[in-house]
Amino acid sequence: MKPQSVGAFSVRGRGRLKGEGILGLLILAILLLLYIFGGGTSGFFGVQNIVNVLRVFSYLFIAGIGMTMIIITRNIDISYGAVISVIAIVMAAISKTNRHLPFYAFLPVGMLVGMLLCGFNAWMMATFKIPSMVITLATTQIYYGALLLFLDGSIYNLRSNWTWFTFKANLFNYIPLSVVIALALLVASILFFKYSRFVRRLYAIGNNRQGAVYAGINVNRTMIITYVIGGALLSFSSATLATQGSRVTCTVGNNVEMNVIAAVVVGGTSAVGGSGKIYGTALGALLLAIISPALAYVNINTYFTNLVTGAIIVIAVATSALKNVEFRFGKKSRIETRR
Amino acid sequence: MSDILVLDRINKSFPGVQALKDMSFSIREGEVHAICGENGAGKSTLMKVVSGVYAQDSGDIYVRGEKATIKNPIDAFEKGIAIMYQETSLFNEMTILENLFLNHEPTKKVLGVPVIDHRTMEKKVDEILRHMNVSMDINAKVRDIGMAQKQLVEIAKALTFDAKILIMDEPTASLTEREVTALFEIIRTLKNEGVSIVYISHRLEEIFEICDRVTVIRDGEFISCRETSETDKDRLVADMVGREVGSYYPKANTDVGGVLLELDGISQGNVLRDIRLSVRRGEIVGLSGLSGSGRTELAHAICGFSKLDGGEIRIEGRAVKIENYRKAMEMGIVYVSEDRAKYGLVAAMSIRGNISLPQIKSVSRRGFIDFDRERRMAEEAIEAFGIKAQGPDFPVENLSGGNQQKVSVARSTALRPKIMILDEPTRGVDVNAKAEIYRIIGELIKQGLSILMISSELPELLGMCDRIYVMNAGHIVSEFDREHATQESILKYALGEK
Repeated sequence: MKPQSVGAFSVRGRGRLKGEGILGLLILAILLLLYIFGGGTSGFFGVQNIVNVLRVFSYLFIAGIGMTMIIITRNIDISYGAVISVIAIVMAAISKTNRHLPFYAFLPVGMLVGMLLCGFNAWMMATFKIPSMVITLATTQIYYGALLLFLDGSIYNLRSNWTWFTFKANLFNYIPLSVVIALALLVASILFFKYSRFVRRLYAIGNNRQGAVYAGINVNRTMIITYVIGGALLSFSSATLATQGSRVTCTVGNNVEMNVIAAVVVGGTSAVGGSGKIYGTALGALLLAIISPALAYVNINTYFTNLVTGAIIVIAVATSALKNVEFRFGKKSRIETRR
Repeated sequence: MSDILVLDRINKSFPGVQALKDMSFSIREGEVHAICGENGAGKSTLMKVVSGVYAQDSGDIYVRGEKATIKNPIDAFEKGIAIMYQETSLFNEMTILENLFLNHEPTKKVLGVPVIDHRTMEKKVDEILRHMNVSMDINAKVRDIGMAQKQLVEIAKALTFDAKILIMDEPTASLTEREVTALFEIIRTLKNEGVSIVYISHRLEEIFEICDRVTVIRDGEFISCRETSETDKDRLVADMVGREVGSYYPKANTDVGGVLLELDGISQGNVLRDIRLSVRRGEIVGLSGLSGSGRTELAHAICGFSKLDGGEIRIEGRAVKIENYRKAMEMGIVYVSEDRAKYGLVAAMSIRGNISLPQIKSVSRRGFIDFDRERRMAEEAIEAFGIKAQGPDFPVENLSGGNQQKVSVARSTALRPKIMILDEPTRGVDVNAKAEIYRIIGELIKQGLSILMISSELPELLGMCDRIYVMNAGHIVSEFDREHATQESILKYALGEK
């Protein structure tokens, strides 16, 4: 009565490096090269530069959590940049009129704004069956447009209760609060991805939407909750981005969504949904955060930043496509019973 | 034994079709009960009502004697009803374990937060697999396993709900004989445990092997329910067919000429095997078979949509190579697809645009479209084919199914073909439009065209065709003259019973 092993299941443990592993090695290699050619601890690895890189990592990754969940379900939200801008302006406006309020009073307001705007995207998708690409393209214009209507360009002369988040809120004098938040969210999201039913439903929707309905999943509700969670997290990204000076412009979040999407896709989340890992997104965000300063420290013209970023995305997506091709050869069909 | 599930006079209609009419059905505890019927008889619709995917318009469902409201799949699961879908409902990028418990993962509280309890999941799966007497790597992704294992995963999934009623929709459709034997082994095990199984299948052989009773449905209505030990295949087939051949088939008696199209040993993987078939001038030839028997694939192969592995196509005695559809059209072959929306018409375009599309050159001057000529062409077609529309600029998507089909045919005839392949020409159209399409087919034949007609509706084939070929599993298994063809004999061949 010993169970026989079933041949077709031998695909497990193929012994090849997974996408995230390759990405991790790539980042290590870049860091090593920077150490050797970038002037050791005085150049790229100078404290201030590292802190800056980590800050970029923080806002990319925090926004990337929601984006990963959304892309896994085979959807997208390209209004993230606009939503980040709106949150920043709303928080800055409160800070301007209430000079004695501490910064952490702004964050819940920002979360609420993010939840509302992103929730609206998902609600429109669900109610009017509009593809996520189309509705978020439209709301990007609406959110930016509304900002410009209410505000003449920027809010300036913000006081120390605003810049506190970037300059004063440090752990052990060095580690910015935004990085601490990002790392805490990294741990929380890894657990969330592993242990929650909710994330399972997201994978199911991205794999086979009709199948998800057959399994009794309320797809619309799940999508709205996903967008709302993503929107709430944008508050932290927005705070990290916008508090670096005493002035906040309407376009503070411009194009951030593209880098966030890039981090998610480079991190191994399938651009057509159904698969993806949150720590992949973390690695993707780290890589994107490194590229620009790294190029600067090895004396490559910063005009190359976009070119290199683009090339990395192409390579990452192409290798994941190759991975899929390879698996197509592994299909066999056999069942055995034990008796 | 008592009835565990009773369906009482279920009605369900979709726009334009009454899919279920006063349909009743019941199954006892520990029974394997087959449902059979022709394509489109309503089997799958019935099961989707039971499993909560569709809501019935009227009628009641009773589970263990109690009236049950099943509004969504979760309700069905909670009542112990699980379904294995024909198109599998699994999730490719997820592991088997994740698939099995999707949306009902066991959870435990950690610091008051419900988290997925992986260990309980694994323990439960282990138990279920031992129960089913199979072993599998539960951490493998579904995309890496074969069809047979997917079926097993579907069964295991049903058991994770502690299902007492398990609905299997064509479970053997893509299994090999050995795998079917293994599946039956599992079905018997489950049956002994008191699980009731609704077994939907085309394969009469299997029904007699594994089932206790069999219910036949036709056109959404209950026809008969018998013990398998007290009936035979002939009875079942007669129940499935049932209809009488109507008289609205205007089969014109035309002079049949010489051989126009000849297929000599066409094959394509295991989809088409050694097909030999001929169509003569002025002849209507029918192609019968169940869906999946290779009929549409044959039509696609003739038209150059797919590549042949071997065999020869001859037109008027000359061997030809048809690499693509353009070549086929040049040879005088046109194809009118069963899936009008997908392959046939451009829905958002006008009748005018659709009709001129394949022959845009003939209405163009120096690369620009001559709208007058195009409009005239469309008006002629509307007149000749009796298309009911406000005019040539009316968008095709707003036409009824029957009128869309007429546009399809009109467009194809404008190419002046020698042979027209019609794939399910009357699917989804109402009775009146059907009669008109038959009239049009009659007209075309009078003009000297030949027609190869693929259809699942036997009366239509019997009424219209000079000869009928029957396909099963990629083979042509039989050929009938108009005089000798009967619904029973064709269906038997189509089911692979001869």
